[in-house]
Amino acid sequence: MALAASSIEPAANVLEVQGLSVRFRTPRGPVLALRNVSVEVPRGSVVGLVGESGSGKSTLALAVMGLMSGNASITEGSLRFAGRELLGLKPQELRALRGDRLSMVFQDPMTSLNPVRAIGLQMLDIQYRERSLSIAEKRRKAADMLRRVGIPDPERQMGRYPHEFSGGMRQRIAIAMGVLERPELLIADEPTTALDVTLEAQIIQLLRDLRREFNSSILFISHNLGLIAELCDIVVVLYAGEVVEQGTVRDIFHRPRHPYTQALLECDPARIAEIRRELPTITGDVPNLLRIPAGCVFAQRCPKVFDRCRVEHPADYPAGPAHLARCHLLAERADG
Amino acid sequence: MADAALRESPPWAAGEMLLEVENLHVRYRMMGPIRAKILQLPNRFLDAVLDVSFRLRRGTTLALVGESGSGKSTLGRAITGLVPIAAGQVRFEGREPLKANPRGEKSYHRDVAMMFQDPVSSLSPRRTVRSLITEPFVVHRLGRRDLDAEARRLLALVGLPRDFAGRYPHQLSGGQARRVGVARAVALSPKLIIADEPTAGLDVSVQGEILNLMTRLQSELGLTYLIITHNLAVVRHVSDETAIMYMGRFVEQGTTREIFERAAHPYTAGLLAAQPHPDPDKRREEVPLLGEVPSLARRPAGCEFHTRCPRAQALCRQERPAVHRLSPSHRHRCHFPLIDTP
Repeated sequence: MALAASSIEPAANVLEVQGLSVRFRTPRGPVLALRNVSVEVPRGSVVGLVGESGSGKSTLALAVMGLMSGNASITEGSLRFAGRELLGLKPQELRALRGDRLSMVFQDPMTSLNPVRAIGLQMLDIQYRERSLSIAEKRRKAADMLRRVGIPDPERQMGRYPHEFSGGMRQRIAIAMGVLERPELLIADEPTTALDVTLEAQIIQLLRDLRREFNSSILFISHNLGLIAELCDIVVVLYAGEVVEQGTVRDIFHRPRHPYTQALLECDPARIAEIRRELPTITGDVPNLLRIPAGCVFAQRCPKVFDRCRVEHPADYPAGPAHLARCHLLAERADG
Repeated sequence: MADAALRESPPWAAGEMLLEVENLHVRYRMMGPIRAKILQLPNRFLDAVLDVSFRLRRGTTLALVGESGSGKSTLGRAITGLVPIAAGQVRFEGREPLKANPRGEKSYHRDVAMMFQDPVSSLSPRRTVRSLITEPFVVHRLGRRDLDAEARRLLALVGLPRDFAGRYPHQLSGGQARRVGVARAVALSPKLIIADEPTAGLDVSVQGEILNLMTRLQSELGLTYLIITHNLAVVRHVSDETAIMYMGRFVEQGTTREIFERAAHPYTAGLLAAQPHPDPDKRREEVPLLGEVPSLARRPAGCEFHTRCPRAQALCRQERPAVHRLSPSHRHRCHFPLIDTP
């Protein structure tokens, strides 16, 4: 039903994550890796998910893809893709979406490429749904996409194996495979972390071009603020499993309202114009998710902390038309 | 960039020379002569480091910057003696330790410490922090010292609580693990630390902590650093001098200020432009450097960078550029530099 409706009138949001909570069973007790997370990806936009290690960015991506590990479970919330609820889908229904309308590029392309199969064959394999195309047409389609992502002489290269390519070339191939079937949503999880800055700039440009050409929507996950600013329209800031702030890329970079976002931006050496030997840091550690603090998750490290932060979990307060921050300071301002 | 803010001529400029590297050359053998003849390869060697010269004064920091495959890690290893030198000299405090008798080399290995990228994941997960940070004493047969006291001293030095001595690597956060790596590196009170990507893979908030720790130890212990990195944003803040490497050569070197404000080599300019701006209003419109580093087995003729250089001309494809001096500290290897006069 929902599918029929969405095929007539495409949903404004390709992806709607609402109130998502994910729990991992561990020997030391349950870890609530994501708590009440809501993220929307409007059609044709690039949404950046930024956060430090352990913030839950990759868990969110894997939850959307239905690729969570065995000890993880979704305890609450909904995941709607193109208007259709993903939670509760049968494995084969989810598999029909993955790689076709929903695809993902990982940090290390060697984890997603088959090391013992030539890349040309792998690119034919992923077109298994296309019954109407001949092998020659599929090969041509694969070669065109490889050329598009900057692999020179693709017909000849298709006979080669992943290890015969450099890291940058491999990531291009992984991206070519990710977008080959023109997915409605591409999830890119730290796709450039293993690459040099020069290649990183090339991959970011490639993602921009692909988005323009195919009008695809991208969920871009990174801890690199520079890349988020270069590529994204909307930014979601995750901290210790919660969305602490979200807004347009200019809201986040020019008018950050959550002290965590502010501190994160202040720490980036690329944003510090003045040369200084002593670099700013965020003191303290990310809270232990086995014992989630009662109040605000950032209270222990927050330079602006006050009594209310330690006892009461803050709500999401509006800071602009599309800008939300989960901080009591905004309530104080609204009340006073 | 705030120009006035870039560091002025540093106070150490007249300081004592600690390390002098001259025309250093590192070469790996790929295959024997017969195989090379069968494959008709002109060169059966890989030149990982070519004709590198620099001097490092005590108490200062030099950053080696370049893409992967530029030879920066090999250069670091060659200086410590982990990789044999094919030609050239490494002088440390005026002596040539890599040519000395084995005993001389041993004292050199105490004076020069290597700090690896991810110090803990490369070490045994079954050993405690105490055992990891006191291992250098055991290796150098200094085990008669009170290792518990040494462990306490080192933990305090890098800002970790005393009870961390009993922890195992998997119980440490990324930043704590790096602190253990720093403790290991400073264990034997070295004079020079070669740090290979000291903050790669760390979150920005933790990256600052580790760099601040290294800066503090530099002034407290009078350390000299050779930092190998590809992160130019960090280099700008922490290093006094910077060298840009491409296919084994220093294509440009100078004070950090010279490199950032008056880059002469198009490769340096390309690397600087490739850094992402953390400001959505300053997005790059085009990709500053196309392609990738060519294979070392097929080194381009002339200037090695000509295959990717936006300014390349016929001369660049034929003739290898010589070293040009722009100032006593600033040198480059380019036929058509972006700036010409000092």
